[in-house]
Amino acid sequence: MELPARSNEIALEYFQFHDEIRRLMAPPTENASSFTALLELPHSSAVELLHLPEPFKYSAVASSGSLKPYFQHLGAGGMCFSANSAPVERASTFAVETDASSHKVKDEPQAETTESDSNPIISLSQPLLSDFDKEDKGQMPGKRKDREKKAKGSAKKSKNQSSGDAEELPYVHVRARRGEATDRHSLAERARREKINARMKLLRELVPGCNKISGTALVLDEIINHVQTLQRQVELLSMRLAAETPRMDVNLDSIFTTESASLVDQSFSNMVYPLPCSDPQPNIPRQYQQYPWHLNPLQHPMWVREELKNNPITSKNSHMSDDSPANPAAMHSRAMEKDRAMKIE
Amino acid sequence: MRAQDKIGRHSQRIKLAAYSSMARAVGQRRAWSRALMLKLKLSDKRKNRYRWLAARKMKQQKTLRRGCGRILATKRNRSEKGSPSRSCSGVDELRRLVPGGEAMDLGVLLEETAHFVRCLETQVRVMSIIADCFP
Repeated sequence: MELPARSNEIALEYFQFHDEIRRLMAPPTENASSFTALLELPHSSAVELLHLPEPFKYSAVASSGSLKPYFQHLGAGGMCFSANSAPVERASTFAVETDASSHKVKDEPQAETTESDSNPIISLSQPLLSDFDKEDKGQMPGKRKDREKKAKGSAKKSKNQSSGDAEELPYVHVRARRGEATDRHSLAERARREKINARMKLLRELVPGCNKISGTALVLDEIINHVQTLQRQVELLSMRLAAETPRMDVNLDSIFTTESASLVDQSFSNMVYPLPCSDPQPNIPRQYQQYPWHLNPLQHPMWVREELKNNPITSKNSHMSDDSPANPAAMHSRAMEKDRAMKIE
Repeated sequence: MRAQDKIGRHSQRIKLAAYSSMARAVGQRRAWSRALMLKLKLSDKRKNRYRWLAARKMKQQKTLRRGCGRILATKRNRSEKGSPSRSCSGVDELRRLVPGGEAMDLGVLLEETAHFVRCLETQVRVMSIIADCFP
């Protein structure tokens, strides 16, 4: 524990309470936290004490006259300021030591329970984390052409090396194999070919039955065949749905422009298959937008059910696509408006 | 016969709705979905004006709607189907199948094809589930 030798008064008082300070400092973490709890130091002043350079701490503590009454809790009347600042100083040294030793964001519980202790640690480890990120990005094979063009300059250096990619730089190093041309054009073409081969490999896994076929052209034909099959299936299913769902010739405008129950009844009577409606629906536009979530499709009239078929599509697509799902409510409302626009034709 | 026409028109609408909802679910993230949404929007605008009038005139004549492999029926597509002699690589065919494929690089085209295939499979699965709901 170092003390500046300038202030003799403080030094004298320090020696008076040396034993008690030793006891306090032995488990610095626990006692320091309880110490500050006793002192009821506000966090701001604790932070100041931590960040202030050491000689100034005493003056800062000395200036805060409010600390005096708290010293009496310790059973030592007129306890010195150094005793107060000693655990604080200990905490600061402890914090600095932990900064140097560990690179973790969260360390063992700091001297102060304030977050200020973890902040210096976080600020030190953040540049380290950003370094890791840069390394990761450099390691990822960036297939962009700008990076490849940059790599050509550096790739010339690694021309004849068959191994050892320099992965720290943010360039993509195109490996030049033995016996191959090393002009810029052929390098670019090779990179492009590798990219295309990687995509073809993905497609082969996606389309069933392509693994056995060798050769790009036949695989392409298989892919085209698969896409056409899927589109034909969509068409067939749409025919099936069209046959199964009864077609409503409903004048939707008349329903949505006026919300009166009488008009609703009139439009219901116009329907090809009038269904018994359990409740009159005065708030139709609102329910039209909210219905997928809490309306039982079986209870509701057919024109509602007809719209219902599109909503599972949108919701299922949003769940099953590999990208992050879009806002389903917005999608549903848009899809429904689109369908309404189409049916008004 | 009228019921048949009705079912045909109804199925066309359902098909369009399915594709538009599929494209909307993907959003602006993929080139094919953007191209598809644009195509549908343009055709919708054009359709409302000219096609509706033309369909009225052609009510007597029976216009065959295009079937498999085409999303929107146009005269151009109908004529091209007949010619079997195409360039050896099926890349051109793939470009026609994937929406927006004409203006893509081969690498991008293949990536979009993969995503498109997965979305189509999902679409088929969903529609079959819906169709099973009905008796």
